[in-house]
Amino acid sequence: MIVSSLSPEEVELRVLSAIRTPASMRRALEAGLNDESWQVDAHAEAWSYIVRRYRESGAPPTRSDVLAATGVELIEDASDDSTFLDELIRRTIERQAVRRILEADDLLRTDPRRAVERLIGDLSEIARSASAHSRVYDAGAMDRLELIESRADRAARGEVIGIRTGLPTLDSRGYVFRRGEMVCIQGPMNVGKSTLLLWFCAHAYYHDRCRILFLTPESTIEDVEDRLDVILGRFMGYSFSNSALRRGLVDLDEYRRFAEELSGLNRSDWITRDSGDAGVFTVGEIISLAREHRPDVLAIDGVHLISGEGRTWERMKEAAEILKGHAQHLDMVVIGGNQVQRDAVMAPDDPAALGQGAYGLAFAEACNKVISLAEKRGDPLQRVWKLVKNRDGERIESRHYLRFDVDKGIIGELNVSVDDATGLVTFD
Amino acid sequence: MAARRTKPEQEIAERIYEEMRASGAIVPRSVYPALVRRVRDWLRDSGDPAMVEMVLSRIARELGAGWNVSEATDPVAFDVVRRRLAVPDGAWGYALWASRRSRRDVRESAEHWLGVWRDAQEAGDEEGVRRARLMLDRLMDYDSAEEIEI
Repeated sequence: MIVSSLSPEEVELRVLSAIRTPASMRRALEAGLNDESWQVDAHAEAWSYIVRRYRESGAPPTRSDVLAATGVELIEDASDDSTFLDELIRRTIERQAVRRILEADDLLRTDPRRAVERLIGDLSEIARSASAHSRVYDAGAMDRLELIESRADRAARGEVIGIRTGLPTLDSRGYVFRRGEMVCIQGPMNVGKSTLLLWFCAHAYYHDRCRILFLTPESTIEDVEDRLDVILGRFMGYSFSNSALRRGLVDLDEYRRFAEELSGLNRSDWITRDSGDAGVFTVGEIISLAREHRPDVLAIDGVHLISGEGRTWERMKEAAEILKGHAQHLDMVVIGGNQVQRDAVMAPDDPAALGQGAYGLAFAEACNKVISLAEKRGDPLQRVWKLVKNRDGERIESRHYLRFDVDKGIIGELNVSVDDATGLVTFD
Repeated sequence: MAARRTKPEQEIAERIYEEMRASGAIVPRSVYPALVRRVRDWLRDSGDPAMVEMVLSRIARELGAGWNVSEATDPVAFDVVRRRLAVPDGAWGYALWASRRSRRDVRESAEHWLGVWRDAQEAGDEEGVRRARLMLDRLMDYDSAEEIEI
């Protein structure tokens, strides 16, 4: 039987008929079947009845119950609960997508940019709901055993599970960047959020061979690449100065060797993207770029510059939730830089608390980790940081110091040693 | 009848006045009475001489010759600077001392302990506050012993 040649009525009836046990009911719900999946009204009614009975009693109703309640006569020998289910999901996605595209037709004529943005959001929402993950924990115990064994193997080989941050304080505790999570770097204007973001990405790119998509709403690509050259060059054993690069005073022989070595890596997996004249990205654009490039790390240099219909707390919360959903769906880490409120800027050397990010907790709420960055009084080449939110472990509320030489691309943790007898502290 | 200047008012105003002159600004002596009045107002409001002196010192240093004592030092400006300095409650004396140290390692160490103090205070960690205070005391002892040696 060619499934795709079956009529909608036949496919729907076979799906309904195969829901005979609690397990098959769960599979149907997990696959994303819902009230919109049906083209035959009687089937939609039968679905609602089956779901209601399942929720009341923990088991789907019998064929005769369905017949008596809805008039739908289910097929007696239907047992394949996956082939027809897949087909019905496929057709549902197709129907919903076509409907959204047709609905956008008028808007496409009058305001194509807005129509495309709306379409990206609507279509990705369809794809996301069709790809939502859920798993029966106890039934999947042996699958989990395999996963845990593979983690143990990797740990035994000295590999890190996740993407290293490059900061020993975090990595040594296992607080690495994990796929599916969102991370926020917050701090006042000009404290170095963009540089730290770029450094995290360069570290992931070079040391963990990650694919990076770096979105820069405000800076130009050239500006980002000037800074990246210095940081990445440092990882690769070169020593450049950002100001020398900008002013054309770099040692050309050294830069040529660096460029040749970089080119020789043949990776093509760092993509930098600016926002053109707009100065902002919409959530739809971000998701569309992430789908296109499939990065391991999606970096957004300024989440407060994500635009929408009105930049409000609600809008930021919605954007953060959508991004979080896509981080999980696309199996990537999203790292965003976020400005802190004026209150926090009053004390520029005190890493801001969680609620002091722009738009309050809107973005930080969706994040697994929030790293707060601040100036160090009296030393422009150092910064103070704390981990003010950590969903996977303990927060790090005590101050930690970074060497922060943007010009030379040197960023790294400073060890603090204390002489208890004198109170003198050394940073090295 | 105008209130008589108290000793702390006069001492703070004198030090700030000298700091303004040391910064290279041309400061007429006629500024001094206005400075004393500011010090008196803020001492009355905050009650902490070290805080008043440090905030005034920062304003004087940042604004230099552009500082019009009688106009630019309204309570809001005072509060803005006070908050920017972010010194924990009870630590203004240490902060003022630290801001006047010439030795970089001592100043940096003091800033570290003031930060630790602030973190501990925010976290309700009394032991952390106690340790920060102890280290600042030891740092002061160490610094004065070094000065004597020199």
